[in-house]
Amino acid sequence: MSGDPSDRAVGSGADVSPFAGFLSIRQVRKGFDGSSLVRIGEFDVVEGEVMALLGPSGCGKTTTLRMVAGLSPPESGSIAVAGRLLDGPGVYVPAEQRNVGMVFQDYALFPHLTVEGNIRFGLDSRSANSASRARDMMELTRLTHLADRRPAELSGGEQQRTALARSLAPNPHLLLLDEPFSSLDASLRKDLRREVRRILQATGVTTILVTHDQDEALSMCDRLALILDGEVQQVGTPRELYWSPRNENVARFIGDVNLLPGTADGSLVVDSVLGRLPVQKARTGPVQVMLRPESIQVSYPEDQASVMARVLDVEYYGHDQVLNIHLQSGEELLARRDAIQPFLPGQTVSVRPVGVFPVYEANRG
Amino acid sequence: MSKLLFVPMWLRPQSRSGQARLPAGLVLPSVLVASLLLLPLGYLVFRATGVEPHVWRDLWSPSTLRILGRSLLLVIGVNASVWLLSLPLAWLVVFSDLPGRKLWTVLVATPLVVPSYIGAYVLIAMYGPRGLLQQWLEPLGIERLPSLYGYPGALIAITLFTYPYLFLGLRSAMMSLDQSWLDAARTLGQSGWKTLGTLLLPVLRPALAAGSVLVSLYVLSDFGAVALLRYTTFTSAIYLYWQSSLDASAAALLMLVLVIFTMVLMGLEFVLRGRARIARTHAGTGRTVTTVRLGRWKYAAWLLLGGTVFMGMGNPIIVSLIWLVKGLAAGATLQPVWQAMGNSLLVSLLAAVTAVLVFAVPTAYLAERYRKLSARLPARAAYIGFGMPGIAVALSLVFFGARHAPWVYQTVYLLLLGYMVRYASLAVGPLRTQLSRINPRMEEAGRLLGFSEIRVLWRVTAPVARGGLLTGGALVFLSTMKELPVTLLLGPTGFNTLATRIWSATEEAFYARAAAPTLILLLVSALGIAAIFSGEEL
Repeated sequence: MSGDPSDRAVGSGADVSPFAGFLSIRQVRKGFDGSSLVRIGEFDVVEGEVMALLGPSGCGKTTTLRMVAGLSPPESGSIAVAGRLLDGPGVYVPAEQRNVGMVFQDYALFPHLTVEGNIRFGLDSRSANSASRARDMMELTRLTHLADRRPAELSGGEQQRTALARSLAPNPHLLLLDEPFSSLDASLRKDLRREVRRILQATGVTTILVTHDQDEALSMCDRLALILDGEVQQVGTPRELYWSPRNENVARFIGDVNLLPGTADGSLVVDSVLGRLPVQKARTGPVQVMLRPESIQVSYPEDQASVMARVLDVEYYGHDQVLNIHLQSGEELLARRDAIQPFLPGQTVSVRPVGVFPVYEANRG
Repeated sequence: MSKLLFVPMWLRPQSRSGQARLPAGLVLPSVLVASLLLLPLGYLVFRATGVEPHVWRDLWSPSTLRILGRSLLLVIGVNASVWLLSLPLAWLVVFSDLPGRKLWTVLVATPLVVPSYIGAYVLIAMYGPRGLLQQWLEPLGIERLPSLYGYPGALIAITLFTYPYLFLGLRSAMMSLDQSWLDAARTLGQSGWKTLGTLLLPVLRPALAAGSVLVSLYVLSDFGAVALLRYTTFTSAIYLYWQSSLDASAAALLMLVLVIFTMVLMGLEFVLRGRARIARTHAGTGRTVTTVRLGRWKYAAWLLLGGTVFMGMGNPIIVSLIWLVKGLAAGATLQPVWQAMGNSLLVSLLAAVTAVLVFAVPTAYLAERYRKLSARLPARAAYIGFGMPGIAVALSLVFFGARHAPWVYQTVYLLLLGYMVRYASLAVGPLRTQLSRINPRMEEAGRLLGFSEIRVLWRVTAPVARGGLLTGGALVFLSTMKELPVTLLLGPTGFNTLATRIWSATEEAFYARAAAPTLILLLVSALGIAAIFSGEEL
C-alpha cells in the first residue's frame, strides 16, 4: 500500500508536530472482513477531557477504540498519544507498551485474582509503592472493603469499579471505556454514571468512552463524536451536537427531530408553515428546517398571533410530556412541554417556534 | 516523555492488511515439537521409499495378504460383537426401569481403564489351558478347556475392552431422544418397530458410526492382546518381523500400510465427530423418556449387565488377587514392583508435564486464538501421531535412533518422544475446550496492563485454564502409565515399568509376577478417570 494517505498527514518524517491533540488520529483506515470500514480523516482529543464516541452498533466505534489501544492496528494512517507516534508508516507500538488503559464491555476481570490482585496486576507487584497505589485506587473507587473478594463474588457495579481501578492504577496517558454501562441493570445506570464521572474527574485522566446510548454520551462527556458508517460525522460539545447538528443523520441520531420544509432566499431567515424562522446558515432554494420538540412552544388558551394546531396524542413521562400535534397545513410535529399543564387529545392549541434553527438542503426530491 | 519505539514491519503482530501474525515465542516451541511428533511417520515414508524392489513384490505375497485378511476379519468380528453387546446395554441403562441404572452405567463403562494386554492375560490366566477355571474344574474330571488362543480369544479380549466406546456414545445419543418425538410417533399410529426404525436409528446412526470407527482403529492398533493371544495381525506380524529378522525396510513397509489404514480411519473419525456434535445439539429440554417396564425380563438384564461387568472388570481383579496371594504365599517379594512403579510414575509424569507445558499450552493457544489454518497445524500434527499404532511409532523411532541418532537411542529421551508422539494430542483437546470458554478480552486487558502476549499467557490464561491443563495432563499421564509397545521397544535396557513387567511376566506365564503391577495400574487408572470425570462435572 504505497499510496498511503497517512504519508501526507504525517509529513516526511516522524515529526510529531502535525498532531494537534493529546490523542491525534490522522487518515486512519481499517476494513475488517470487507464488511465494515472505518475511515477517520482527522480526530483529536484534548488533554483531560472526556470524549464520547457515539454511534449505532456496527458503526466502527469499538474498532476505533481497539486501534487506539493497539489491539487491532489500522491498515493505514497514524495514531499518536501524548506526542508519541503509536501507529504510522513503519511504526507500531505494541499494546503493552502504549500506556493506554481500557475498561472492556464485560470488564474482563481476572477470575483467579482478588480485587486487590486485579488492581495490582499492572503495577510492579513487588514494590512497596504498588501496595499503596492499589490502596489509593481502592479508596477512590470505594472498593477497600472488597479487597479480598474474587470477581465472581462482586455485583456488576463493583466489577465495573474494579475494572476501572485496575486500568487507572498504572496511571495511563489515556483511558478507554468500551460501553461500560451496557451490561448493567438499567435502573442502576444513572447512579453508576455519576460515580464513574466522579472518579474520572478525580483522576483528571483523558478518557474516550464508546457508547450507543445518547443519554450516556450527552450526560457524561465534555465533548462527543458521532460516528455513522465508519466515519466521524461531527465532533462537539453535547450542546453543539444537540442544537446544531451538521446534517440530518446527526440530528436524527441524537434526540427527536421535526423537519419542516421551507424556502430560503440567501438570508438567515426561511419561510415555512410556522412563519419566518431564523436559521443558523444562509441557504437558497428549498430547504429543511430542523426543530427540536423543546423549541416548539405549545400553549392554550389560543393565541391569535401564532399558528393553530390540534393535539393528536399525549405521551406523559412525569418529568415532561411529548405532544404529537397536527398543523392546519397538514404537518405533524412533536413538541415537548413541562409536565404541569394538562393537555388532551383533540384539543386546539397555539404553536410558536423558539430559537435559531439548523437548516439543511431539501434532499432527494 | 517516553521514547518513540520503532518496530520493524516483520515483527508487527499484524500485517498491513490487518491479518493477525502469529507470536514467534509460541510458534517456535509448538512447531518444533510438532515436527518431532511427525518424525516417526516421516521416517516410515522415507524408509519405505528406499526398499528393494523385491520387498514391494512381497507386499502382495500371500503371507502379507493373509495378515491383511486376518486383521480385517478381526475388525469385522469385533465390530459385530461390540454392536451386539453395546446396543442392549445402552438401551437398558437409558430406557428400562432397572434399579440402579446410574451405577450400572459407571460399572459397564469401567473396562475402559483396562489395557488390552491385561485383558488378554487375565483371560488366559482364567480360562486358558491350565488356567484357574480349568484347575477348579479338574476335580470334576475336566482336563481340557477349548483353546482360547487365536481368533476367538482375540475377539473376546478386544471386544471386552472396546465396547465401552460404543456404549457411551449410544447412551448419550439415546438420552438425547425427546420423549415428545416418541409420543408423536405413537399418536400418529406407528407401531413400536416402526418407531424404532424411523426415530431411533437416525438418532443413533452418528454414534454407531463414530463408535465403530473408534473400535476399528483400536483393533488395528492393538498390539498387546493379539500378541499374547497369538493371533497374527499387522501389529503382531510387525513385531515378529522385527524380532526375527532385522530387515527394517520390510517392517517399515508393513507399518506404512497399517498406518495408511489407521489414517483413513482417523480422517473418518474426524468427519464423523463433527457430525455427531451437530446431531447432539438436538438434545433439548424434554429429557425424561418414559421407562420401559422389564417385568420378568429383568433377570436376563441382570445377567447381561452383571456378566459384562464381571468379564470386563471382575475378571482382571479376581485373577490378579488370586495370583497375588499365591505369589506372596510362595515367598515372592514386592521389591521389583516398587521399582517398576517408581519408573512408571516418573516417565508418565515427565511425559504429562512436557506434553502440557512445552506443547499443549502454545499449541492450544495458537489454535484457539488465531483461528486460521497455519495456527492449527501443530494441533493437527499431534492428532496424526495419536492415530499411529504404538508399535509403528515405537519401531520407527527404534530404526531412526539406531541408525541416525545413537546418542538418544536407548535413553529416556527417545522414550519420552515416543510417548509424546502417541499422546501429546490428548493434552491439547481439553485445553482448547477450556480456552474457547475464556474471554479473549481478558488477555487483552493483561496486555494493556503492560505484559507481552506470552507473559499474559502464563500469568493469566494458564492459571485460569488450569482445569484444562490438569485434565490434559492427567489423560497423558494415565495413557503413558498403560502404554506397552513404545515402552517395550524404546525403554533403556533394564528399564522396567509396570507395563513391561506385566508383559514379560505374562509372556512367560508367570502370572504371580504380573498380579501386583496389574492391580496398581487398574487402581491408578480408575482413580485417575474418576478424578477427570468429577473435575469435568464442575
